[in-house]
Amino acid sequence: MSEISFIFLQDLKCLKVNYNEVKRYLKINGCTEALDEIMLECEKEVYKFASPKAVYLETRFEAYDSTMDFCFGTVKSENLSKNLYGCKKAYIFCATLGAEIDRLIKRYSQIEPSKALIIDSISSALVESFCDYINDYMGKEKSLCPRFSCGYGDFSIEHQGAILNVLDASRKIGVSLMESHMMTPSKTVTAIVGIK
Amino acid sequence: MENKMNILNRISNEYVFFDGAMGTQLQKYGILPGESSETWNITHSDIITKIHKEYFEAGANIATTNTFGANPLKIDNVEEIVLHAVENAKKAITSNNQYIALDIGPTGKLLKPLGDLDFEDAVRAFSVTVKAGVKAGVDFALIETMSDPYEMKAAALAVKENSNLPIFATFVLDENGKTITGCDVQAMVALLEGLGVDAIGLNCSLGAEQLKSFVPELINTASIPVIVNPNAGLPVISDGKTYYKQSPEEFASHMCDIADMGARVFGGCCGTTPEHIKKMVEMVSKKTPKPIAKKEKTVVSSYARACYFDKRAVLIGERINPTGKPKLKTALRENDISYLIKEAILQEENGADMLDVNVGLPEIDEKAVICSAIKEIQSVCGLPLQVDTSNPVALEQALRIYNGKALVNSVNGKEESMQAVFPIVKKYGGVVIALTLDENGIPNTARERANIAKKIMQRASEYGIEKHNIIVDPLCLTVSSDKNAPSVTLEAIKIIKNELGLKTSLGISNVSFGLPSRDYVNSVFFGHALQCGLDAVIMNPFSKEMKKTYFAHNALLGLDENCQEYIAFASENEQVASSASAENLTLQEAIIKGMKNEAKELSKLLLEKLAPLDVVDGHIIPALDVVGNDYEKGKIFLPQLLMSAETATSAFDVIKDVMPNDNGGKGDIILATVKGDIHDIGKNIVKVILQNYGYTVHDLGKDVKPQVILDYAKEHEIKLIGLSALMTTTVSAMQETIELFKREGIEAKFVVGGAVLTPEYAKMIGADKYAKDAMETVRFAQEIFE
Repeated sequence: MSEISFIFLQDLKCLKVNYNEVKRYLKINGCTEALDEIMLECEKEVYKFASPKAVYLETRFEAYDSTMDFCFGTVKSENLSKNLYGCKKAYIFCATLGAEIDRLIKRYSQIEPSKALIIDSISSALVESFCDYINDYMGKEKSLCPRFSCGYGDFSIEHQGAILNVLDASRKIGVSLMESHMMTPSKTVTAIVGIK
Repeated sequence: MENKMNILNRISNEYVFFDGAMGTQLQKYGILPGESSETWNITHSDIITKIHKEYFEAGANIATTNTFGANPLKIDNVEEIVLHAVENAKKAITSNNQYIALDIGPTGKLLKPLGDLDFEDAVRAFSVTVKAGVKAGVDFALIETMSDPYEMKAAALAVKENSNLPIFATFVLDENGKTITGCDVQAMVALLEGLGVDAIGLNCSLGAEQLKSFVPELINTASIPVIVNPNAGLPVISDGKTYYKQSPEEFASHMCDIADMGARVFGGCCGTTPEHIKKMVEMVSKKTPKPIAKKEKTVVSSYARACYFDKRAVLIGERINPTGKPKLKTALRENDISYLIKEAILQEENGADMLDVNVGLPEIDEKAVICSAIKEIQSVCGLPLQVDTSNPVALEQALRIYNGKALVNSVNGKEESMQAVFPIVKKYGGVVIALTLDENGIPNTARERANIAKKIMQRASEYGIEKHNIIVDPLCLTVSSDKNAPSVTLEAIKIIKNELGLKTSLGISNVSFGLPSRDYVNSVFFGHALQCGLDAVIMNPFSKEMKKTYFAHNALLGLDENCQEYIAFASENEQVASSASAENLTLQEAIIKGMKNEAKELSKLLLEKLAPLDVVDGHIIPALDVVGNDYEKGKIFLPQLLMSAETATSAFDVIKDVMPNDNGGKGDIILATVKGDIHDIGKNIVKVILQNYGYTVHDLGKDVKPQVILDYAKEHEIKLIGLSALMTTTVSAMQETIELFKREGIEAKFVVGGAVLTPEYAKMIGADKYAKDAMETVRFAQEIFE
């Protein structure tokens, strides 16, 4: 198992918000010209407060049918095993936009819930775009499978804590787990990415 | 080991050296990834002692115990681990210039409100480690690698409350010079010096080279010795592995620069080895320690930033104080904390530097309400707070849970007051407002008021409170009842500033009590007071007259570079004036388009011609119906629905001003995000829409236990309850809540919503209705109540 690498993104310009995703989160399926201006305002706020940070490591794993032994524990999941089919190694990563985004959403949800909703959706899209960025970075000289997070399909969310622990995510990037298995800050993603 | 010098004496006179990384050494000796390094204190005690010895031999004075993760939130046998860890360190000691630091690392959990760890639970967890350390016999406590000032405060309080150990505290910065939670260096220093820690510094996160750029600010801010324990450079990735590649020579040379900047205590974090420490000790020891300057700044702080009482007067927003504010009184009685939060945010947006928080009403539990108000305000508003209460119990609780160094309002010259307030301020840190009154009341002359200020200053110093942590309020009485009152106040400001060297503050508005157009009088008096050197004012941030005076004064006295702030203020003022005219627009259109300012203006215009209820029924409700129908037909989307709802709310606010006692609600509804869940956007959206349709919403907040919902429903006889949950793991808490009501035989209808719910799922957990969005909740409420 390798040690943990760290990514801190100071220049947010290389991340683009995918507005198709934002609209999907907002359940918008039509013309939104009326919202263009407010979306742009909200995007500015998100970029001001986001502090994208990530940790990742590369690890070997053993697979038997739908059971896989990772450095953080044993996972039984047919969906994940299909996703990782043929791989012997994988990246495990955790990416977050930081705690200030949570404060921002909380603040707007008190004064302008409409903006809170939009900021929440833009942040969700931004953290996904950050994940894409990390995957591109990790996959520079390798061919990678699509990322797979716990909570998808039959990959139980119970593994979240073990993944954060093995990445030392609390100390390195300030991500921790609540009793309910939710991660804080809320705009955080963990995932496994198979290396082909 | 006789004549061992106290570590504090040592750091006040000479350089002191910490050891380097423990984890890096453990890896060298074969610890496996994921293995508990704390357990090695028991299973591999020889190795741990060997590592401590190597660092001592390299020249370190301090062995940091291998207890970084030894707290009850991470491991079970804290006491046993700490005992062994301290024993292992003791075995390495060979001289009386070697000390043992009890290592206290973060809990690994984020504190409320952003996370789910309660502040007091954090204090309790750290207390277990501290007690074990005291029992085992350490020389001092090292609180390290903290990135949240709130958690740092919990740890420092745990040490203070369970020991007499000196406290060294180090925190982690990222490349932006802030902690992960957004706290800057000045705010962290204000908090920690307020709490009385003995040395402060930076560790981990960055290499010495990067950390170096933040050291001058730390040294220029702190009045206590500064510690710097960096990593051995930045991690380098090679063959998929991470290394800290900085050589001992390179590390040591950066540490020499840091010594030249004035740091006093040095060591290493991740990647540093005995070789790094050896080289560092060798090179830094050749230098002469720089003296540590006392800064004597009057400063308060929030979770994010510090606020100095320096050249420019500090504006303290007065809006969260029930005196003369019926709406706030109602909000406090109904426990409507979100009203307070809105007031806080609006004052921040209107230029307040700090906020006063006073919730004193005879019929409420002040201690509980001030704590929940502070917790909620500090979760969304970065301004430092002034805790304003005459109840010492409420004051202590509020200062305890405040995330920063607060301004305390107030103490006065009565012996009873000083005895009650000073010990609390000393324990938790804070700047205290001193009112110039005593057992004999408020003196009539400026000189006598200054004398009371002097007495307070002297008594405070007996409690260890320095004069820069006192701000004197010489009190201003009403000009309409005593024409000389303002002159006495102004004279008192001058004496207190010039002769006693103390800062001053005033609550301005009292001066105009009983007069018409009070703002004119207030702002001119404010101008006079600024001229006398006033340092802070408690005022209404929405008052244009006061702000005109403030910005003009700063510009005229050279406190506003290129008059930039004055110009910005003036042009903003003009803009507001011009956009207020809402021609060719109806209220209905304004609501549909989500134009808030226009809706307010148009409501005011309509109220000149129509009765309040006619404005509601004839203009606002029809607009909401249009928007609601468009939304249900998919013509507009949720953000637009909400914007219209918010606009309608601002129109309602205008109308409520002319008919304040409107009790004609259509029905009462409880809303809550269930236990374990902290996502409340969905719930807040439903709240706004329900309120628009005339329902009275009792918002119990997020992470709400079933029992709390039951008790509230029982007490207020509420029959409709809306529950929200975002995660599959928290839906079970919905079920628990519904089952609790059934078990207790309390009748109520439940409407549930949230991302993971489906109609089937809702049925399964016993809910009466699954609402896919806010409009469906409204429709269900209509069914129930009509």
